[in-house]
Amino acid sequence: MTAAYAVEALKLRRSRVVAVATVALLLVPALLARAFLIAGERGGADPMSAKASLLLPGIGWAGYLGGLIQIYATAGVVGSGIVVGWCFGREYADRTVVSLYASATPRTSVAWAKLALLAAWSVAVGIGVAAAAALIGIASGLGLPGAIDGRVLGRLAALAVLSGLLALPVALPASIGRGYLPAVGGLMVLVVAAQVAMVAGAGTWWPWSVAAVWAMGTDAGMAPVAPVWLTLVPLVAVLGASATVAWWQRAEVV
Amino acid sequence: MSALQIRRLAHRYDDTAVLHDVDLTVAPGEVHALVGFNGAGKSTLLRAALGMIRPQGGVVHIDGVEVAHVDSTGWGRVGHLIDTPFVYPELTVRENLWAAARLHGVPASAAGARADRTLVDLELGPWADRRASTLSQGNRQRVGLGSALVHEPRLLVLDEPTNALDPAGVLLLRALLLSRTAAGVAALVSSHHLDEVARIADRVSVIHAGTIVGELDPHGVDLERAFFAMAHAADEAARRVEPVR
Repeated sequence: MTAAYAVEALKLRRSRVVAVATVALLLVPALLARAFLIAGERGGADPMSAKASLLLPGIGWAGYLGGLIQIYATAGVVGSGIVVGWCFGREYADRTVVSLYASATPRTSVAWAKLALLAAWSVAVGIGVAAAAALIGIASGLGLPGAIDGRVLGRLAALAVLSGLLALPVALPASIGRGYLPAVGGLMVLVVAAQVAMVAGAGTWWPWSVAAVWAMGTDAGMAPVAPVWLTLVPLVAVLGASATVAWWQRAEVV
Repeated sequence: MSALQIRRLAHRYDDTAVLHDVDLTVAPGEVHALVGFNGAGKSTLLRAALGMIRPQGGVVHIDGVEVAHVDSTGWGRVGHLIDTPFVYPELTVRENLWAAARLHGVPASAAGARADRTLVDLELGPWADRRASTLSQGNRQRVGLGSALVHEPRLLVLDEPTNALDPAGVLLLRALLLSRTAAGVAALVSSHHLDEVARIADRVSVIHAGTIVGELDPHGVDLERAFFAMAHAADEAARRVEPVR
């Protein structure tokens, strides 16, 4: 492993921000979806039950996983974006970036290592989210998932990975703005733009919406997504990553 | 050949000249101290010397190579502490030094041993396995100095290295600097502690309003008086000519 990867991997392993975000991504959306399902299946006249019935596409595993995908569509980008923003913004906020200049390890190597490890973390989170969702469903009395539910779990895992990739461009505002807050601002822009795109009917092609529309599927009343549009997700991730690395190469110490 | 050579360096922030026609060299085996008031241009000069900013004029050579063209091997021979100690709060002290060693080009097989030796050199042993977030400012500075030294650089550039250090830390740094330079390391050190530079420096350059206005004899008497006289003379001279703006 090169020095940049070794050091960045150590920093990720030791980070409380990453640990908390990982646990939150694995558990919070699934527990929230399960709670919605309980409220929905209760079928009462209270506002919470009515809201849950509207949110969930069905009952049992279908309702649980459908609700989970809807929740994760936003929570995944937000949680991953916080990790990406921290990973880059902290170098500026803590001023450690200054010591990455005049070093045997080029800054571009450090930036690429961060991005590659964050992408790998997204894959691990994707697998973990599907596994955690399955375990929470089984443990809370939904029984074993069927074949169709298994495919939905696969889509959930893919959505989690794609959400991590969609968050990578947050590294750019964190770097240009030299801190955490610009990263949060950039993240909010992405999340709001995704909601606007959904409302405006652009959800089947807007990069920050298309993964969620695809993962929810036509069963949940979503428009079908042409597979080619999903390729926009890695494309914007690579573009955001490349722009970030270019910034790290050019930026001076201020 | 000089380990560091700076010629006719000039830099502006917006419409303010912060460096003007700066010439400076650091030879192997010498400590060259840079003294000046706050805002005199010390930190900007050190940043330019290390390629952290791109000055509008002049040229910097490290070991004879223009700074923009120094490769990984060349940077592996440079150690620096500029601005803030290189300390990640979530890592232990030992891990921080290991990370610095790796990033400075020390192979994985040797980085652990270098980190351990630096723990001894900086007397950081009692804190080796503590997270850096729990350290005092002085010990964070020691870790930062260790990060600059861990890969045994041939050129050291240190900006106010005694910041936050207690008297024991200052003595330790002085001994380390002198032992490294005795082994041929070149050191450029900025400071505004004249008594401190008098103890360690072979040469003392005075920077004032972005210009090197002269050298002080580190072994001379009343260094402070000589420093203020030099700065005052530079101000008087500047008043007689068009200010650099």
